[in-house]
This record gives sequence, structure tokens and C-alpha cells, in this order.
Amino acid sequence: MNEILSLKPLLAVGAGLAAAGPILLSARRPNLREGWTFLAAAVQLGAALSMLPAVFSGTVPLSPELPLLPGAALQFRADPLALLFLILSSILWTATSAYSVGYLRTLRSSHQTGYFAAFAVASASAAGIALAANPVTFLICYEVLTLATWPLVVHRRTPGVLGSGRSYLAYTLFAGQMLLGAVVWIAIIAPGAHFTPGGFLAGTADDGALRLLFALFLIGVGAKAAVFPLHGWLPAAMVAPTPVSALLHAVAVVKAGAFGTLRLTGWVFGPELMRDLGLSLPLALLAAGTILFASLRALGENHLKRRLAYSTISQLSYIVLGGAIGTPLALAGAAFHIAAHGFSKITLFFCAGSVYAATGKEYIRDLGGLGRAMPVTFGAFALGAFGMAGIPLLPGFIGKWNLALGGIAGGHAWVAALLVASGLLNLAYYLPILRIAVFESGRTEGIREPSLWLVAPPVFAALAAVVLGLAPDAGVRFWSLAESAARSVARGAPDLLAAIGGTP
Amino acid sequence: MRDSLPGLLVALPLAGAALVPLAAVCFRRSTRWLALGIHAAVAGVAVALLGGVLPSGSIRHAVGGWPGPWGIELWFDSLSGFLAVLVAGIACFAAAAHPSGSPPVSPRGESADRPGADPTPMREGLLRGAMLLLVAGLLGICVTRDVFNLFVFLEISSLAACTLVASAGGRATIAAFRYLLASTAAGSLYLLGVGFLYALTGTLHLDDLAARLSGVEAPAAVTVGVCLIAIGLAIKAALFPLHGWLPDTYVFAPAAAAGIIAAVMAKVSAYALLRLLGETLAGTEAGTLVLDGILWLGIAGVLAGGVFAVAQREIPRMLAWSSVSAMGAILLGIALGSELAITGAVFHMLAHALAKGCLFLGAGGLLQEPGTGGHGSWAGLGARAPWVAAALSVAGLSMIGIPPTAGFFSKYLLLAAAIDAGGPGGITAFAALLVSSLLAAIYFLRMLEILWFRPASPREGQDSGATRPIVGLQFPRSLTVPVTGLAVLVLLAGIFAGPLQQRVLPDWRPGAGTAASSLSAPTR
Amino acid sequence: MTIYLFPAALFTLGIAGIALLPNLLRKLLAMNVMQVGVIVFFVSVGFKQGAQAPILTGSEAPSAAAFMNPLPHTLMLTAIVVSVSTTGLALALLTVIRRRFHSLNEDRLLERLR
Repeated sequence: MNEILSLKPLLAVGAGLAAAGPILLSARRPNLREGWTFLAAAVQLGAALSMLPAVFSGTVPLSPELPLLPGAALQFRADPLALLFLILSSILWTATSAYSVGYLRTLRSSHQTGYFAAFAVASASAAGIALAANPVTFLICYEVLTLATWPLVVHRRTPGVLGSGRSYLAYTLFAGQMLLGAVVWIAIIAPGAHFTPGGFLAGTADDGALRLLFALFLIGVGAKAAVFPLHGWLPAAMVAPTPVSALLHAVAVVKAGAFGTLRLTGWVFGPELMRDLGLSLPLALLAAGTILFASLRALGENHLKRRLAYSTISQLSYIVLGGAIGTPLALAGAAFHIAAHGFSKITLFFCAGSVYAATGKEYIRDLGGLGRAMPVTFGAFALGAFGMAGIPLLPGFIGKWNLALGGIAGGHAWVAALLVASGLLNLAYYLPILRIAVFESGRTEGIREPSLWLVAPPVFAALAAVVLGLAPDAGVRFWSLAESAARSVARGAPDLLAAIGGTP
Repeated sequence: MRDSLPGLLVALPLAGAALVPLAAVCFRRSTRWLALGIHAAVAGVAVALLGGVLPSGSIRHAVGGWPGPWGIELWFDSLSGFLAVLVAGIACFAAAAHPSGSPPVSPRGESADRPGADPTPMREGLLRGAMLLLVAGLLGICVTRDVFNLFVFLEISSLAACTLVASAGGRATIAAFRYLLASTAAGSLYLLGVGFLYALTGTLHLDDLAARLSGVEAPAAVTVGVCLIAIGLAIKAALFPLHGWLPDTYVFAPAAAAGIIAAVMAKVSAYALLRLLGETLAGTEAGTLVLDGILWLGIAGVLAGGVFAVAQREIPRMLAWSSVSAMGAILLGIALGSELAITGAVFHMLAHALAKGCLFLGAGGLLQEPGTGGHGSWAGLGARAPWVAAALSVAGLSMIGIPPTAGFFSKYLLLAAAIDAGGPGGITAFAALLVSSLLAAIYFLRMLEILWFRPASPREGQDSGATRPIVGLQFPRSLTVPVTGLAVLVLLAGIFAGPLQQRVLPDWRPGAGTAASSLSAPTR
Repeated sequence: MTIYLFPAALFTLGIAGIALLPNLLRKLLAMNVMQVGVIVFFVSVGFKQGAQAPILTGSEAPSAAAFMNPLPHTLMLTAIVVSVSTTGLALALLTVIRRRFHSLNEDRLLERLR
């Protein structure tokens, strides 16, 4: 792939950062303030979309390099995987901003200015993570993301919420330190290395050191991806306002972790080196364990948002699993699942937030009858839930299907069985929500759909998910992006190329 | 002309130290601006010298025309220039933070009831003079090439610092006395070690010492002398477990004094340690032995400082313990000794000095807020003084090492040096640095939480305190500018970390041979 | 060699006194003893058996072996000045402490610091 110098990656990262200042200064004029947010989101999305044609023609836009330290420079690059994550988060940032306006104003929340400023910085750093060309840039954006999301998590400022915020920071900063160690180590053994499809670490250090390095890096990205046993912060962080949970804990933060895991397995170590070091299988088993564990925990969770959180934990580990297996189909499935899960899960969170904003109800047992009072919201919820469970024609199916095929191609036939089992578990914890909401009775007098700000985003996200499921390569061509990312990793291993299929 | 400028670095603040109290008596009003002007002039000289050194090589100046090894020589290279600019720069901020026309308030607000503490111009002049004296001593350490001269400057700086600490009155006097004892003991140990080396080599000049030590036939005596010097300087540099004087001194010093003492004093001693052990004695048996010991003590200090900082309930005390941790990291870098490690250590000095200066000035400013009974309320500062709170947050983030602040890059360099050095020491240092920045994250994010997310109440952040409600708190104007200025510098030093670190040590070579060989042809 | 035992003893006594004595004034005195130890050490370094002060009295050719080393002695003039100023400052501090806290006992004073 030939790289072309371009300022668009910088624009995509800078838009959100630049918006934070004006947002803080427009505290007195809420409409102007939200205008900045939408402007920045539009600029970010526009920059991302404008890079699509170049990427599909085989070039990679690369920003100028800003040297920081020996062997470390700040640089952004839009390869297919980066673009996939960037476009996804830009679209969902726009949707979530609209939703936040409705949510915060409906609930008359305080600290709205700080909220939107932190949101903008968090989105910028998510874009930076997506576009990071090397481990140092990734680390810098990763740490900024952690801090920018902290005020969002503790938005309500009560002592209990602050405690949850501390637990959130404890996990993510611990992970950040491990990642820092790994990144410094990489800078010493492979100075100035970029993320390279197929990895760049082979032969740079002895096997033991590389395994330790892998463990450090994995802890770093795995904590944000909520891989067992580093998942504890995600349910705790559900104290955040729902739009925050929606974007940051279904898209930005957790996806940054999952995305980092893919970068680690495909672009730092590479599938071959992982196999040679004997790292693939342990990581795959860890991911499989997380999938089952989180699904079972979700079954027993009564708080709606926390059940969604456990579902997130289990779904993220599909992506980790794909990275661990490392065959092209599995990688493509995992990359596509970033987008698929993003649209479906954000739908579910939006719906949960709408229910809370309209009724103040947070527990599943209290949802009785709401499905009939709020048909649009729960319709979207159903679409999201079925998408999660991997029902064919919805997006979750495509990711899982390719993961299973990739697993079989890589000699891990048990992956297929695991995915079926987890799909059933998904249904087992989502269907009761719908059953209670639609068929059980409850006090629903005076409850109706909330304002348009709160209804349109989930409907939009659900419809987008349906489109993505029916035609995975329409519009922004998420499937093509996922596939070409996976192909680039596999290029070094021609024997695996045969396994590449087309769209299912 | 250019070659005698290093002398000006010492002479200018020394003259100012005498001039400012006189001016305070004669003119009364202009003391503040006179002192600030002298500080600014010193900083200007330091910057000009550094600017002159970077392109055209180091400067050697024989004081009074007596060339080394007999006379005292001043030596200004990019490393001493870096330290000198740092010291002189921080001093400007601290001097600007020094209150005019009112006595500095001690942490417990005791000076109000201390007899004879009413604000007089004379008192202000004397304290400003003491700060100039402190700067003269510290800059002298930066540039001198003579080990006995170094002792004198060490004592000048610690006496001046002691005066400044004691000026808060009340309990600060106890802390100041204990600091005086510790630093005098340290100075005597250092002097005794110098006596050993002098008895063995007959010279006090660093370059000459390096050349002659190789011919000495009593390695045990050299080792004892080097150990004594190292212990003396290690006490002043607060190397764990010789850090006992540090927490009380930092906590009880008045704002402006804490700003400069916490920011640069221990670091200048660490710099002296670097000059003596890392440069002059590098490669000798005794030097290697002592550096190895310092490496392990540095590792212990990094961890112990972090653990104790986590355990503190008062923010100023937490800041002081975090300094113990940071000094451990700096000395650890010096002990590792590679070019990368020295660069990291020196950059950590810069990052930590800027951030700690900012934090201690802020802490002192909070204590001066009227209505708190001298307890200061960190809680709710984000609401009543957002710029100050933002500045303190930036400094705190730099202490944790969050990009893009300066602290991230210094930590990065130290980690890289540790992993690069390898071996049990390097790996342990790597792990210790990671753990300590995790600990730093715990206590500094607690500070951030208190600053931004807790409502103002007198009990937050201070566990013993009045319970009367706080109304009309206002962060002192005179401290707002220094605090925010230092925070901006923390950010700038981070953003321009690349070019900065490339210029810190362009001609650093561990080992003494090169410096000694240049002695034969002194450039006067 | 035995001449060095005297400064060594002074220095050790001084350090031990600083560390162990409970009263701040006694600590200060111990500090002075320690400093005197260092001074005596330097003076003994410069001392040479049978040598004379480095002052040229006649017109005979000077031989370095015949003179004592004056440098350590002059250095100690500076060290004494440092010692005196330290003691002065310390005494001033003790006066303030005594007036404010009515005690010079370290343990009792440390309680006030916490």
C-alpha cells in the first residue's frame, strides 16, 4: 500500500479538540454550544468520509510526522481498519450528541458545558486512537481518552458515583501504565516502528521477552476491552448518564480497547509470530471464557443498563477472539463486528436511556407494559437485541458467521459451537426484557414516547443496523473496509489467503 | 566578556541580596519590583549564556584569573546551563509569588498571633534578599568546578532556604531547625569526604581530581571518601531513606519559599551528585559501587514515596511525599548512567520542578485564602477559581505522566533508559517506575476529584479543621499568575519535549577523561 | 595515623548526638562538635611532622618538603565562617521556638507538627 501525505487525518483528530474551547466559552448560550459540537462532529465525519475513495484505491493517507522523542513520533494514518473505526465513531458521535441534548435537557442536568466539552475531547481521542500510526500515538490518545471520560462518568457528582469513577480510573489507568511499559519497550527494541500489517516484532527480542511484552500490551488494551478479569469497571461505570454509557461504553472506550487488541494481534505481533510464540490459543480461550462468563452474568442482572454492560463485555470478546484466531476471515469478522456491535448496542442504550428519561425506571422488572406505551422505542430495542443475538439479516450475524468460518479455517472448530451457545444466551437475556415490556402489565398511565431528540437517534441507529445487516457493503462499505484490513494482515501468509471468502 | 558571564550568575543575585534589604529601608515601596528585576536579569543572563553555549561549546572561567587546578574555575556547559535556567526561571515565579506588604501566612495561620510579625518593609526586604541568596547558592552549585566551593554554595543555599522556611513563624520554625540540622550534617559529611579525596590527591578541582584519582593506591580510602560525599549529597537530594527532613520542610514553608525550595533545591543537589559521581568518578571502582547503591535506593525511594503519598490525608503533605518519589526517579536515572538515562533524569528535573513549583505555590495560595483559618479548601476550587484549578490539574497530570504534559515524556525517557539498561537493576527500575506512576495516579486523581467534583466544605482535604462555613473565598491575586504561568510551561515543555531533550545534553559523555584532558589548555 | 582518631571521635560523637539527644539545644551543640571534628581533620591533613609554616624568612631556596600545606588551613577559615553563621541562625530559631512553644524537647515539639 502506498502512503500519501495528507492533512485529513489531522483534521479528523483536531476537530473535536478544537471544539472543546469554544464549547467551554459558550457556557451561557446552550444552543450555540451544541452548535459547536455538531459542527465538530460534522467536520470529523466529513474528513473521514473524504478519505474513503483514496483508501479504496489502495492508498493510505498519512499525516506529517511530529517528532516527540527518539524513536517516538506523533503521526496519524488512515488505513482501512482505522477508517472503519473512525467512521463508526463519527456517525455515532453525531447521533449521541443529538441524543445528549434531549437527555440532559429533559432531565435538567447540571454541568452541561463541561459535559459537552469532555465529550468532544473524548471523541477526538477516539479518532486519534483509530488513526494512530504507531504505538506511541496510540498510547497518547488512549490516556487522553481515559481522562476525558472521567468527568463524564462522574457526571452526577454524588459520593457513590465518585466511587464508581474511582474504580473506573483504577482499571483504566492501571491498564494505561501497562500499555506505557509495553510502548516504551517496543520503542527500544523496534525504534520508530509503525503499525505494520502482519506485525513488526518478529526477531527483535527473545521469546520470553516478547511473551512478557505481549502480556503487558494485552493488559493495556484488554482492560478497556473489558476482557475477564479486567471487566469490573464496565458495570460500575453504568452510573454515568445514559448517552455517556451509550457512546463511551458501547463505542469509544470499549471499542478503543477492542480495536487496540486487533492492532496488537494483527499489526504489532502478527498472526504468525503469535502462533510461533504460542499466544493465539491462550488468548482465544481467555476471550471464549469472557464471552460465556459475561453472558451468564447478564442473565442474573436485573438492572437494565448493567445487563447491557455485561452483554457488551461478552460481545467485545468476539472481537478479541477474532484477533486471537488471526485467520483472514476471523479478522474480517472481528473488524466488521466493531461496526455491527456499535450500531446495535448504541440502539439498546439509547432505548434504555429514553425509558429512564420518560419514566425514571432502571430495573427490568419495572418495565411491565412500557412496550405498549412506547412502541417506537421498544421496536428499536427489539431490532438491536436481535442484532446482538446474531439473527440472520441483522449485522451481528455477519461478524459471527465469519468468525466461525475463520475459526474453523484456523483449526478452532469449537469457536462455531461457542458462537451458537452465546447466541442462545443472548436471546435468553434479551427476550425476557421484551416479554416483560410487551406482555406484562404495569402502571403506564401518562407515559408516552419522549421528545423527538430522544426518539430519533435510536430509530436512526436501529435502521442503520438493519441496513448494515441487509447490505453490509452499502454506503460507507464497512464490509470492504474490514475485508481489506484483514487481507493486508494476511498478505505475509499466502497459505491463508485461500480461506478468504466474499461477503456471505 | 562572554567567558566571565558565569561569574555574573552568582555575583548578580549575591549583590542583589545585599541591595534589596537596603532598598527596602530607603525606598520602601519599590522592593518587590527591584527584586523581581534582579531575578529577571539573572534569568536573562542564564538564558543568554545557554543560548551562547549551545552552538559554540562550553565556557570555562577562572575566577580572579587563577586558572585551575589551583584557582576556582566556573564551568558552564549545556547541562549546567539547563539547570541554571531552570533555577533562575523558577525563582522569578517564586519571587513574583512572594506577598508584598503582608507577612507570609504559615499553613496553620500562626504568624498573625506571633509577636513581632507585623509587616514591615525591612522584613519583606530581608526575605526577598534571602531568596536572592538562595538563588546565588543554587546557581553557584550549577557552575562551580571546585568541590570546596561547592560546599560553600551548598551551605549558603541551605541557610537561605532555612531562613525562608522559618519566616512563616510558628511550627515552621521547628521544621526549619530540623532542616538546618539535617543539611548541616549533610554538609559536614560532604566536607569530610572532600577532605579524604584532598588528602589522597591534593586537589579540589573536579577535572584534576578525576585525572589524579586513577593513580591513587588506596582504593579503600577513595571508597570511604566517595561514600561520605555521596551520603552528604544524598541527604540534600532527599534520597530515600535519607529524606526525613523533606516532608515537614515543604509542608510548613510559606507559599513562595515552598515554590522554589520544593521545585529546585533537592534537584540541584542531585545535579551535584551527577557531576561528581556520574561524570568525575564514572568508571572508577568507588563510583560504580556508590552509583549501584544509589540505583537501588532510588528504586526504593520511588516506591516508598508513592506509598506514603497515597497514605497522606492532607494534600500538601501528599505533595511532599510525591517529591520523595520523584527524587528517587531522578537519582535512579543518574545512577543508570547511560546518555538516555541522564537525559531522562534531567528532563524529569525540569518536568517535576515546573509541576511541583506550580502545585506548592497553589497550595500556599489556598492557605492564604481568608476565612479558612489557614486550612485552605481544595474542594470546590474548580468552581470558584477555574483557571487556578485548571493549572493545578495540569501540574497534577504531569506528575502522573499523562500526555501531552512534560511529565509523560520524562517518565517515558526514564522507562526507556531502564529497559535499555536491562539486568536486574534496569528491570526492577522499570517495574518500580510503572508502579510509582500508578500510585501517583491514585493520589493526584484524588486531588483532581477534590478540586473539581467535591463541593466546597472546610473539611475536605484537611482532616483536622474548623467546621465553620466558608464564604467569599478568593484565591490570592498575586499567586494566580505564577501558578497558571508554571502550568503553561508544563504544557509547553511537554509539547516541545522533542527539541528540548535533543538540546539538553548534546555533549554529555559519561566518564571524566574528556573533561580532564581539556584542562591542559584552558580556554580563558 | 593516630592523629586522625581524634577528629573521627569528634565527628562520630557529633553525629550520634544529633541523632540521639532529645533536646534541640543539645543537638545544636552536638552539631558544633561534629563541625569541629571536620575542621580538625582538615587541619591535621595539612600538618606535617617537623615542617615549618610556609613563610619565606631567608633567601635560601624554598623546598616544598620543608613546609606545611597551608591550603587546608585556609579552607577551614571559610568552614568556620559557615559554622558560625549556621550556629547563629540555629540559635535564633531556638529562641523563637522556645518563646512560642515553651519547650525544646523534640518529641514534645514533633507532636505539635502532626
